[in-house]
Amino acid sequence: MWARLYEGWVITLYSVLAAVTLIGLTSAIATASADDRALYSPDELAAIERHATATVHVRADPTNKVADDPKAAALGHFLFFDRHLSINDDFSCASCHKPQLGFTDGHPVAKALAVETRNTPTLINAAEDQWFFWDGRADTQWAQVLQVIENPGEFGGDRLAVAHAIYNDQGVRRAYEAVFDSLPPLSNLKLFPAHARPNAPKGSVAARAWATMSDTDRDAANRVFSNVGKAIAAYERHLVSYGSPFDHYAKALRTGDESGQAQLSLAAKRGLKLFVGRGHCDLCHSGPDFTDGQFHNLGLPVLAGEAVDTGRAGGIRSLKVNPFNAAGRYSDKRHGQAAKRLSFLPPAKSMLGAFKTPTLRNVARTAPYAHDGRFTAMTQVMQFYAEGKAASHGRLVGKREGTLMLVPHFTASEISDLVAFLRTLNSAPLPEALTTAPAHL
Amino acid sequence: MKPHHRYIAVISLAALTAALNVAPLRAASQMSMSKSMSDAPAHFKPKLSAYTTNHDFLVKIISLPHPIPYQKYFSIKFSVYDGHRPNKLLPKARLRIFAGMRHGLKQGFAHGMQSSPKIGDKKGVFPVDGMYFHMMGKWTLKVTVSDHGKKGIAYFNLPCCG
Repeated sequence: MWARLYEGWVITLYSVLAAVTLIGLTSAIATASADDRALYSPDELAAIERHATATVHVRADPTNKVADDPKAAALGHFLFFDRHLSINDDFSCASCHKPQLGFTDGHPVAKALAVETRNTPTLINAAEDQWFFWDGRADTQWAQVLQVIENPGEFGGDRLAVAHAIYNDQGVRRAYEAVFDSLPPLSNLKLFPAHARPNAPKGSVAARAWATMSDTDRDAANRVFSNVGKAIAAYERHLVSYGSPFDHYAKALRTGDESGQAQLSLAAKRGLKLFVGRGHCDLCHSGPDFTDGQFHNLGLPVLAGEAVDTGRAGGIRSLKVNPFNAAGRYSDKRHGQAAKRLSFLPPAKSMLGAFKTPTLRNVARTAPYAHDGRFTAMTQVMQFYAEGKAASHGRLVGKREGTLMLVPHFTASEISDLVAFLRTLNSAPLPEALTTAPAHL
Repeated sequence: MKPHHRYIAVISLAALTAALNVAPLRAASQMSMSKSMSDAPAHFKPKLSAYTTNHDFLVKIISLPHPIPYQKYFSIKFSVYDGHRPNKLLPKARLRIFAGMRHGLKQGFAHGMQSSPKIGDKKGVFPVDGMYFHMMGKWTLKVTVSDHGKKGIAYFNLPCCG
C-alpha cells in the first residue's frame, strides 16, 4: 500500500513538474523568439537608428574642386603610398596610416622622423569629419595632408621639394597636369629652389630660399602644394566603409528580422543598450560615425614626462592663421559654409585641453586610445570613464567638461558588455585595390 | 525514478535556464521603458518671450528655425523691449548670448556651444548668426541685456533637435 501511495505521490509530483515545464518552455520560447525591439525603449531604438547607416554618403567638399574627380583620386592614391614626399624618402602617408590597422599605426603616438605627441587617427570615414587632427587645426581634409608633409617630426619635407618631386617624375607630372594646370617652370632652380618653405627654422636652407622667392613664384609653389593635398584627399574620400555587424543588427531591428537580430551576442546587445541609454555615451559619440565631430575636455591628467598639450585651444589659433584654411586663397570655395565656420570659432582659451571626439567605427582595430594613446585597451578607456572625477587627479589642462558627470559608474560586467558592443563596429573590409599601393599611375 | 521522470526533470531545468538567461536584458528593458535614460531629441514648444530676472527688460525671440537643425549652424533673432512698457523697443540696448546645456545642473552649465555667434544690432532687433547645437536635448540660452546702465538676464529653453 505504501508503495502505491508513494508511486501516486511521485506521479502527482511529476505531473505538476510536467505542467511547470510546459509553461516554462512556452514562456521561454515566446520570450526567446520575441522581436529584439522589445529590449529597447522607443528613445533607445531611435538612438540606434541615428547611429545606423542605410547608405554610404560622403560629405561634399566644395573647397576642393577635384574632391570627386577619379583622376585626382588615382593621383592621390599613388602619392599616398609614395615616399618621395618625405625629406629622406623614408615615409609615406601609409607609414603611419597602415591599411591593415584601420589606417592607424598601432603606436601610442605617431613615429616618423621623430616620436610625435599624438596618436594617429584612422582615415576610414575621415571624409565625414568637419575638423582634422586631434585639435582641429585643419578645417579640410586636403589642408591636413599639407601639415604632415612640412612637419619636421613627420615627413620633414617642404613644398618646393614636393613640387620638384612631382615635376621630376614623368608619370606623376603627366597625371598631375591631367587634373590641374600645368606646373610652373620648376626646372629653373633660381626661381624655384630645391627646398623652400615659410616658417622653416631661421637661417635654414629652406627659410633662406623662401626669402629669395617672388610672391608670384611662392603663390605658384603654394598652388602645387595645395593641389597635392587635394589629390590625396580625393583618394582618402574613397576610404569609406560602414556595413558593420551593428549596422546589420540595426537594419534587422528596423525590419523586424529576427534571424538578423540573432547575429549579435547578448553581451553586445546589453552594451548597445547601455551605450545609447544609461551610459550617455552617445551624447558625444553620436550619429553614424559615433562622433559629434566636436572637442571635449575629458580631464585627462598630464602624464609624467608628457608636455602640456593645449588641444583645441592651440588648434584654433593655428587654424585662424593658416593660409590653407577654407577661407584662404587656395580654397576652391572661399566664401562657402566651410569658410564661414571660421568666423564662428570660439575663443581659444575656452577650449583649453579639449580634443576631438574620435569615431568609434573600427575602434577595435585602432588601439591605442586617447589623443596621446595612453590607453592600450578599450577596457582601460571604460575604466577611466567609470572612475568619474577621481580619474582626473594630477595636473589638468583646462577644465574637465561637466557633461562627464552624466556617465555612471560602470561595473566590470557592464564594461565587458560595452566592449562587446564596440567590437560590433568593425566595418566591412575595403577593397584591396584601395588599400595597396598602385603599381603605376 | 523511472526514465521518463528523469527526462521531465531535465527538460524542466532546461526551460528554467532558458527563461533565466534572457530575463536580465528584458528586465533592464522594462526598467528603461518606465524612465528613458536615452539622450533623445528634446520635443517641447519653447517659450519665445521672457522677462529678465529683474524685470527691467522683455526679450522676445522673433525668428527661430523649426525644428532647430542638429549639428548645423542656424540663425535666431531677438527683439528687446522695456520691461515696464512691453511695447517700447529699446533701440540702444546691447545684447550678449551664452548657450549651453545644464544636464540637470541647477546652477551653471555642464558645457556651452562650440561656436561663437555673431550678433548684429538693428535698433532693438538682434539677428544672431552662428548658433550651433552639437548635442541632443534641452539647451538653455542666457541672454544678457544692458541699456542705459541697467543690466538683466533672461533665459530661454530650446529643444534640440528635429
